[in-house]
Amino acid sequence: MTDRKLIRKGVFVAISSLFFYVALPYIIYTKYLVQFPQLALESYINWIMRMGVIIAGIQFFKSVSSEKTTRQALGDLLLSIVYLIFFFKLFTLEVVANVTENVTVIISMEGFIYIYLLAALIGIFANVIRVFEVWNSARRSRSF
Amino acid sequence: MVKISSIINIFSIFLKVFLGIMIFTAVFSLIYVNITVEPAEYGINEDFNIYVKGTIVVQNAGFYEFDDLNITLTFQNQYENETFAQVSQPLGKIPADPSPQYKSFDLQVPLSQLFSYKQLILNDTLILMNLEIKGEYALGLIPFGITVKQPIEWEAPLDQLKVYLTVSDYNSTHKSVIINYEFYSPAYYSYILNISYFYLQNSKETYVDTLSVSVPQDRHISDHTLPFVVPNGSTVKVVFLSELGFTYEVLLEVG
Repeated sequence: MTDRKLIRKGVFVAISSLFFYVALPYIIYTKYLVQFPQLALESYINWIMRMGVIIAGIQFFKSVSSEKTTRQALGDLLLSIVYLIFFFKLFTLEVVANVTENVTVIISMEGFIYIYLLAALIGIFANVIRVFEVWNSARRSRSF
Repeated sequence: MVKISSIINIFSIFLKVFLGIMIFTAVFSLIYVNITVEPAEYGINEDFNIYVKGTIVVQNAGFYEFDDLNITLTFQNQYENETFAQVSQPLGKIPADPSPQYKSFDLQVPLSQLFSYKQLILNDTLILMNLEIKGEYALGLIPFGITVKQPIEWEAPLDQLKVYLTVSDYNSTHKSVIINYEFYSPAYYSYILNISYFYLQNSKETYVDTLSVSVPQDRHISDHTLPFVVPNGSTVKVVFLSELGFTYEVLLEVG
């Protein structure tokens, strides 16, 4: 792929990430969730949007690199670490809803953390190995 | 060529897909759950326990059952920074069944437990009676809690208690003393109050007498003891004791 194509791909991927992690949560919050102030979700939505900007940046960094390069493998590794932080926070959040003045409902999804942690750590481990694999193959092709 | 990283990554992706399915089914299933706490009945029984009785109706039309369902009754001050008493009752499991399932609870807290806090003996105050239902849904993956807060006017048995002595000379070495006491009795219960009094001199305690008073509901009680003789410079100890389970001591210097 030429540099121009890679940059175009990077911009597209970054904009897609911004749409999914920034624009979409903002639209869902302002259109629907804002009608339930008792859920107090504003700070979580802000956090998702902030993480979305970081994810979009890493996606750009990863996508402007050529296939099977160390930079792309590092981008994948970085992305899996950021996703781990993102979902860890998401699963540890407790939704506190004040249904009436005297009735409060608290729901949490913390039971999912362990499965996600296992999946994410396996993913990170795979990406670490991939960085070494790509780096090693690049080193070998250079020596040839 | 198949890389080791790709094989490991497949496991990770498989787990993430499994997690996604679990989340989707659990959240989707939760939509079909309906929990109702029927208005609870509360009061003080003949054993001087505060009781709260009620029924929880659960319509669990989802795919998963409820585990470790537990109900807790907590008495707290109105600022929620001090817990006076707490009692729990397990409610067990609720299987996935669309028909209404009833779980009754009967929670009791002895009044004596609340009377270990001095402010609840001496002052009418607003306290919170919290009923909290806790449990886990979808194989323990979704813990949840429902809290119902009920503010109640706590009626102290010795509200605004005032104790003072009327002292007169008996002879050159002794004085004649009358103990005066006044307080407001609680609005929703009556009880028997025993008032024992002693005098202390040189670290030696001497018992004088015990009064037994029937305290009616919602009155201003004002009374005194019969006169008794104490040595000069002694201290009078008055002990208020009740079948409700409280003991309150007052020390007064004989002037």
